[in-house]
Amino acid sequence: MSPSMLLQLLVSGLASSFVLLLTSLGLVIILGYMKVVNLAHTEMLMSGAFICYYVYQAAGLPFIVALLTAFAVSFLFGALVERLIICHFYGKMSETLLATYAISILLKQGALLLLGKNYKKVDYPVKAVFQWGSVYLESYKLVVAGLSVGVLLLTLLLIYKTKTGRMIRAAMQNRSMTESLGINTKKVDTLTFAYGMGLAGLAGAVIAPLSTVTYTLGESWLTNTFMNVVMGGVSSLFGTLASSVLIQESVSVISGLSNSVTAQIIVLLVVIVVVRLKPDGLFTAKERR
Amino acid sequence: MPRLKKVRQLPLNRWIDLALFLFLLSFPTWQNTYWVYIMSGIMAYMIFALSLDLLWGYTGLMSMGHSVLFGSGGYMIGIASAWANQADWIKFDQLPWFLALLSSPLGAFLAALLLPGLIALFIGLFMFSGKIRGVFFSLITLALAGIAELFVINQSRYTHGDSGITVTSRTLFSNADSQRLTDQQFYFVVLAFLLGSYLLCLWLVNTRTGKVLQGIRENESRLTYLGYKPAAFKLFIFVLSGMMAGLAGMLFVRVQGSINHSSIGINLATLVLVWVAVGGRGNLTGALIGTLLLQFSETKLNSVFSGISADFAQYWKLVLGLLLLLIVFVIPRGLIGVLLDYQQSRQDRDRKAAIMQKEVNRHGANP
Repeated sequence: MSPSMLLQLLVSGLASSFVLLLTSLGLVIILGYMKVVNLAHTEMLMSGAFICYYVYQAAGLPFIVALLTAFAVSFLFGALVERLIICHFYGKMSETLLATYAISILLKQGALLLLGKNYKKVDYPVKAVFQWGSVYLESYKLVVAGLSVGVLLLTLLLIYKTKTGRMIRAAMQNRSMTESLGINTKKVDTLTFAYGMGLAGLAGAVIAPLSTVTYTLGESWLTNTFMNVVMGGVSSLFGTLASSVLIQESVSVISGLSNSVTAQIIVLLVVIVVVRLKPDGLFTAKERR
Repeated sequence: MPRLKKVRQLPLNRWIDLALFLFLLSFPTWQNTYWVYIMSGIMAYMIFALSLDLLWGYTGLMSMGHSVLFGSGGYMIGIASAWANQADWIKFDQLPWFLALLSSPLGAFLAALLLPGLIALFIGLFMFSGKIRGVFFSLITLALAGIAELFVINQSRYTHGDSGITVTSRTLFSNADSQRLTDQQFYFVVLAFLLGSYLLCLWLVNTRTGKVLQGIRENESRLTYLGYKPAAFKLFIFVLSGMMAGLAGMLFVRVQGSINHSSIGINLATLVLVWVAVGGRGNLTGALIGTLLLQFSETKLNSVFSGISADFAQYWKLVLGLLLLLIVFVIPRGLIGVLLDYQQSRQDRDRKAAIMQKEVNRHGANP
């Protein structure tokens, strides 16, 4: 492989890392703060992409409106799902997995039956392509990277600097104590879950121009997002950032050498080994016991 | 008569099992060839469901990609058969070293058991350490199912890619087209394997090992304090369950006459979870009944609705999603679980009444 090709692979790998970061954030937050594995996450991505298609591509509204709509709709859907379904199953692993799995089936089949099997294409909101020497990069990928880092920072701000974030962290650490301080932890749960789902919808809208929008879009993200969560762990969002970069860079480079499926298999094997060595994720936050 | 009493106290579900096997035994005598063929497929799926029940219901390890083990077993037979009959898509003159076992019929049979076992062994060796959350096992297996489907489509040199492999030889060992059992004959082959697998499971869960497995499900750390090594038991049951799933895959391919990527991917992994969840996990009967009920109704409804809507399969998946949600909400222990709970509560009541009666007899009418 020539050095310029390797550089190209590394650059596009880095760009995809930020996409993966954005698509996994919601999942990590829901798992980290609520101990719930949200299997409906990737189908929420798919729904977000469809919202983006209908608001931006079909209705012709500005892209930012599509992003906000996707976030808002998924946020409300998340709140509804938490209130109606998830809140009954806290602490029961099999049940939450089955319930969120059921929701994901409903979302996917609903999309298929309501919106059809046709592929839908969403145009890039910014079309310029940057070029340095032989390395190309679509400007939209830069926008996505910026958005992704922005969302990560905003989330960190929300969790560590606001009152709501303090309540979320308190509810995670000691539920009954938090309740006895007069905080409505049920509301906090709903908010956290809705925020995670909202991020999934937002991420779906962001990735819509990068992929064809169809009902199988969720499934195509499933492997990568879940591997990312397993590898990055949930104790620190920086672990997610690091594992996003690691996974996508390796997938990108190995894809260049052979093909993308082999790349994914190798990365999955590596993830399985890494989890054994570092079961709490790449960056383990020091926990007070 | 103590022995009779023991029979009467047999859990309700064992009677259901007995009735089920009698039903399956008599099935070909009063049904036509088409339904015998359908039922053979369902029975192969039942073995698959049993293997998941051992893992999920008894040990508490929820494999969300069990189809990988089923499909890898099936694909071994598929490739062996395509090779033996030199299917027109085969472009290689010699089996590569990693498929060398498939050249002989017995080797293919072994490979269909060994490959799933090896996959399970590899995942298990790394995933079953005390520090890794149980839920990561579910996520990794789910990711594996997603990748496996892409893999078999991608490796079209050996798997015929998207179109899958046609397997016309319906015998246990031979892969040659000419040797073929009838639907009826093969039905009994599958039934024998189902009965064997069921008895193996039944025996296993009542041994000491089986009790340890259930201990892992209930409280893994307490088991560690008692000196057991849960990781070794988990590895054992995962490999065994994987080989059983491989057996099911092998039989299914022979019945169905074909295998494609949907038998190894998330689709089937979802289906088997729903069967076991609906029937009820952790009692073997639930896995059998859940599979029978759902697969039978799918086939039946398909024949009714396929004339009305071409999208029946998609609506059916929607129904399965709703059903899963409903089960989790209303009867999380599944259909058979509810029956068992009912029997338990009645037995408890009877026992309580008997004790009360004894007390009354001893102390007179007014204590």
